[in-house]
Amino acid sequence: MNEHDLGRKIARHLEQGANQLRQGMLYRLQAARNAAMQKYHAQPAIGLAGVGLAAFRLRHGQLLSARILLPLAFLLLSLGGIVYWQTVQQNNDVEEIDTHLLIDDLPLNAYLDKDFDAWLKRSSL
Amino acid sequence: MERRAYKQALFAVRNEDTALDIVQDAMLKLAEKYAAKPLAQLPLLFQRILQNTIRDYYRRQKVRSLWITLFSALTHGDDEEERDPLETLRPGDASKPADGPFEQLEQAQIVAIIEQALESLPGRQRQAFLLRYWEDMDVAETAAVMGCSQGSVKTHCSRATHALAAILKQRGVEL
Repeated sequence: MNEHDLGRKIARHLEQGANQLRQGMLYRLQAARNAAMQKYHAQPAIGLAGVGLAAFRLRHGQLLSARILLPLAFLLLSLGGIVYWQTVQQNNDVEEIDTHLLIDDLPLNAYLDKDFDAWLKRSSL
Repeated sequence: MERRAYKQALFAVRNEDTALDIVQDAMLKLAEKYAAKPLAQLPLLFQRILQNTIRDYYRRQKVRSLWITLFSALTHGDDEEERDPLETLRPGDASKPADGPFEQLEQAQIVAIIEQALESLPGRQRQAFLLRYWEDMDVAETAAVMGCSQGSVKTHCSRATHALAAILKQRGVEL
């Protein structure tokens, strides 16, 4: 007898053993099966509920994206404003220096000299 | 289906109530989580859930045994006398009919010997053998349920069958 045939014969005996379970155990197994089947039949309702849940998730996702996008847009606008303000301020400073250069008697090299700047600060105090 | 599942669990855990709990859990899990699956897939899924539930039971038992061992060591083993050794014994032959003709008695005895032999096998060998020959799964399906390679399934099945043949021969059973 080969391995497969022996396996099948043993399985047949096992099947007979399973059919000889005592009545009390068969009843408990049947009750367990019934409980599982009730859950199984209740699944379509859960499935429909799942559709509603999916819709809620979609709306929730949209809300979530709005909640993230708004602060992000605000942050970007703020950064843009800061950059713009810095550029304008820099231009104003340059314009101010140009004006001083034009109306002053001092030569340009005086402004480029670091010691002159230090002297100017000390003298203003 | 549930009878074979119950017997499989009983071979593994050797306790009727625990085996029943395992089958019940497996059936509920199947109904709750896989109701949307095609009917053809359900037997395979059920087997996978059943084997996982048995494995979970083993894990819990392992942790419980560890705590019991630690607790026993701390209490100097005073409570060992209170433990009933009968609690650790197998449920016995309650599934066999008590009376009947000679053939039925002989059949019941052969079934009992086979079941005892199966219980003595290593878990993976028993699992592979039962899935392959009793649940009539092919090698690929058995491998999928057991989470191992097809080669491992063949090895486990071969070893299980040879071990069973040796035990049956030793006990004078001829199939």
